[in-house]
Amino acid sequence: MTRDGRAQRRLDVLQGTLDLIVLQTLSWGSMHGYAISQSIRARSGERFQVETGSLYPALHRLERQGWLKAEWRMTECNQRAKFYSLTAKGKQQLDEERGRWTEFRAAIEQLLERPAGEETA
Amino acid sequence: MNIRRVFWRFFQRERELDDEIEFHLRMAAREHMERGDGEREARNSARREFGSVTFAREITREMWGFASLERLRQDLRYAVRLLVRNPMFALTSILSLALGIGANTAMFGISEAILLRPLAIPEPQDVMLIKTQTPTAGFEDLAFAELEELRKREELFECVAGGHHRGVAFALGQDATPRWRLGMAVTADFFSMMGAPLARGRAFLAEEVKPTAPAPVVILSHRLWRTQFGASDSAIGTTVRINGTAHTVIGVVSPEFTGVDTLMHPEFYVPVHVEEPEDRRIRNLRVFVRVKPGVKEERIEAELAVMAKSLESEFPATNRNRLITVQTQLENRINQSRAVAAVVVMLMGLALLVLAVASANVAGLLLARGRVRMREMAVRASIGAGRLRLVRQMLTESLMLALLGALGGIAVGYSVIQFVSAIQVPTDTPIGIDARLDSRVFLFSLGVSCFSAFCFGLAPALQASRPGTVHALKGGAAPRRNRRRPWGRNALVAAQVACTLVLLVASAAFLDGFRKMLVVDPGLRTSGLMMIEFDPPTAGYSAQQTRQFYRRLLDTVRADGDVVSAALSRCVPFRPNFTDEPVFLAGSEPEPGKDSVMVSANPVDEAYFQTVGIPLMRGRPFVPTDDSSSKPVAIINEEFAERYFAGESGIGRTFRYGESRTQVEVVGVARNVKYLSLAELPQPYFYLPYLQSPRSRMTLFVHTRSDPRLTGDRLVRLVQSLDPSQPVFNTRPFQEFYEMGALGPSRVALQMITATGIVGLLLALVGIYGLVTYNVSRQTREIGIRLAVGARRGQVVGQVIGQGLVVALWGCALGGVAAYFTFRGLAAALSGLGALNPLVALVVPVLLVLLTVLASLPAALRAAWIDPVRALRTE
Repeated sequence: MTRDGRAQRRLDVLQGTLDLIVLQTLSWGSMHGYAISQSIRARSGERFQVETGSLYPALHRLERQGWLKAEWRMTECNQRAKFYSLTAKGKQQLDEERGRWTEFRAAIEQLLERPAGEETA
Repeated sequence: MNIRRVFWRFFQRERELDDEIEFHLRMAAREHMERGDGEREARNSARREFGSVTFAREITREMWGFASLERLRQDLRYAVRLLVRNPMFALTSILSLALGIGANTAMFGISEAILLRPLAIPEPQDVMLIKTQTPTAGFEDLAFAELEELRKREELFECVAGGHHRGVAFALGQDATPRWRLGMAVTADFFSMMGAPLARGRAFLAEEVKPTAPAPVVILSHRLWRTQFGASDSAIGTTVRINGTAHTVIGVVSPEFTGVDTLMHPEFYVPVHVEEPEDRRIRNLRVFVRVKPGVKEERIEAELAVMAKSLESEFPATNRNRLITVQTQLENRINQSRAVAAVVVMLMGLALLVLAVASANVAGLLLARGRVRMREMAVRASIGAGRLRLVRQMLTESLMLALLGALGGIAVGYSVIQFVSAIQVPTDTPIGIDARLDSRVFLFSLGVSCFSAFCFGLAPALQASRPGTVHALKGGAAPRRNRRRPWGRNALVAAQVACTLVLLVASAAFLDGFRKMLVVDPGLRTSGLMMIEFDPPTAGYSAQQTRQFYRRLLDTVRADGDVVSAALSRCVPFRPNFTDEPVFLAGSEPEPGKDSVMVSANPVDEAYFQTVGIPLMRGRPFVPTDDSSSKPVAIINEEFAERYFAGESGIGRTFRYGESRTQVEVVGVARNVKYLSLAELPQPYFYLPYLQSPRSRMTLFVHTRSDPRLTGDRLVRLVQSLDPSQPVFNTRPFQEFYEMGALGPSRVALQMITATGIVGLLLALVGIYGLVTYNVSRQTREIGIRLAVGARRGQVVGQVIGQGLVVALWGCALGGVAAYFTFRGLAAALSGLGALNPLVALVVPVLLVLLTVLASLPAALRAAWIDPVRALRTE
């Protein structure tokens, strides 16, 4: 294994959670695609690396579903970039996805908990 | 949505996506540079981290919903490339499809004109017809009192109106010579029911359409207005004379509204005039109802049944056993003429058969191309194109072929429709098939082509995209060394040959029937005969005056030096005359369970047999003393005597005819002739003396010494001089009428069926040529080897032709069976066809096989001259 430790700890984004992550990231304000990917990486403690091959399709899909809106603006370094932000529908969707995730996590944890008898066996 | 806008948005999005990715890469590169990488290195790392730009772009695009558009663009590009690279392939396929689709376009256009096209009115599906039905007379129209009865059922019908077609003497001005024109007399509400389709002026007012009101107003058809009034606005308010009475023009109908009948297009509309509103014997009103929204047909049926019951008890004389039924427009058209509907269905079937051959043809060519393209498909499959994707690409190609074929097909269909619309019916009535290439026909042919594309495209697509990649990549089309051919091909060719055989036998049978018809003797004089038709009541003549007029007419004409003889006849041979009468025979049932039989009757005067040249076999002709004061007599034909008097002479026998059951004594027997069609079997027929059964509408037949084509006009002027206000119509030499009326329809049918047969033959030959050629190209290597080891060229030719021949023979065997049953169906429908000529049964298949051999000859010769060295190297 020649890869460094940090890279080894990198996780693939769990199937179906990318939408939630993107929506959550955008709940702080509008961002362009590159910033979104950087923000996800930083905020997951460098553990999540979103494939660009998944990020852009996801952004375009969410835009088409009406959860995101996009506009071309100048960045602070004066470059033209496409900024995404949440719509009202998107905020609602974020709440829903968040609720679903909580339920999902609880269910998984319950599944993983070993019954007391098994441990003594 | 606007196609151009879709494309524009698609390309804009494309640009934006490129910008977005470019921005991402720049930002990533900058971060690398901030970490201390060189510019080049930074750019490279950014790209590396991003992964495949193309891939990201591709799958992002799929999120737009434009994905199918993008793939379509790709598929179309492939398809165009394919066609451009193989012009011969493209040309043969498109030609085949154009013929097949053209045949269907034309047939649909015609059946639409005859059966399917709805009336050009708002919500035509809500307008239905009401008919009465009795066991003896079948469907009949309604009496005025019954229409009034229906009008009261407001809970069912929004509107009730009726009318009848009516031929009148129509004169444009005060002194103009009247011409016979077909109009329609209509009741109140007729135009409001039809959605008031008026281009100029107004519809009838309520007081103008009171049943007993005089009718001084008229509405013109758009065509009459255009041709006779120069489409001038000043036509409104002018006066025309209808049967001698002045009528004021108050309106013009819109050009789309050509009446309520598919074949008869009235030239004007007048209010219906009812002498006796309570007379329920006169049932001449074709009644239309506009059904209230939401009212079900079953409910109408039920209510009409109740109404029929109560009318039956109230008016037993006219309404006993008389049902009242509701019909849709289509049901009505089919009922009106079942024979025509049957012919339409048959022709439509024939057209579909042609399309089947054309499709099989193209499918064969595509299967052949599929073999050659296996390598291409394999390459595309191995770099990740899904099987579905490949199938779809092949279907896109098929669709493109089909649409190009549809373009050609619509051109073919258009010319056939023009041909059919130009067919003339030899009467003055504006009757004709109003076939046109409207949007429905257009959509139909597009639909047919898409359907055919799917049919002929699917099998080759599945075959070509079948897994087998490795073999295909290694050896091109050569891997399957076994002799088994792809399943579809031989079957397709055999089916083509079979279909063609059926078509050819059908048209040969028609040709044979037509040839027989040409040599058939109609049994009566066709040349040297002039015909002029009269209907004196249209000029206001009473029955008495009419008889006097005819007397005077005969005297004048017979006095002319050029006239050999002249006679009056109710019927014109070879024209449907609708003069059938029930005949009752004492002490015998002509048909089980029925006391009467319908036989055509023709009131004629004493000179008729001599004038039209029908010899009397027995007895005497009519004489001038066979009038209303003497004993009723009749002359029957031989078939009548044969069928109903058991072949006895018949002279002196009696029978009863008509609703009044008049008893007549047979005084003569005339020879059988052809009455309606040259193809008919001998029909029973009888003649009545004019003076005992006077009719108002009669045709004068004049046998002249010189050619009536030269002297006819003089004769017509002579007749007109008797009474200038008297309209004459259908004035033409009988020969002209005979050629158009008796031979014309069969000739048209023959031409169309033969054309279809030849088209089918062409298609099958093209198909066989293409497939044998393909066989040779596939076996190039094998043939090369055989030539190299010493096979003679003759053997190769024989082998290649043999392959085609086996398939052709199979096709002929199958087609022979199918043709046998087709012919039986045809012969059942058309009695004149007779038995299948053994020569036809033999010659057609042999000829077909010979042509197949001829079609595979070029490919066989090419195979024999293959250069072994090059053949071995190329594969």
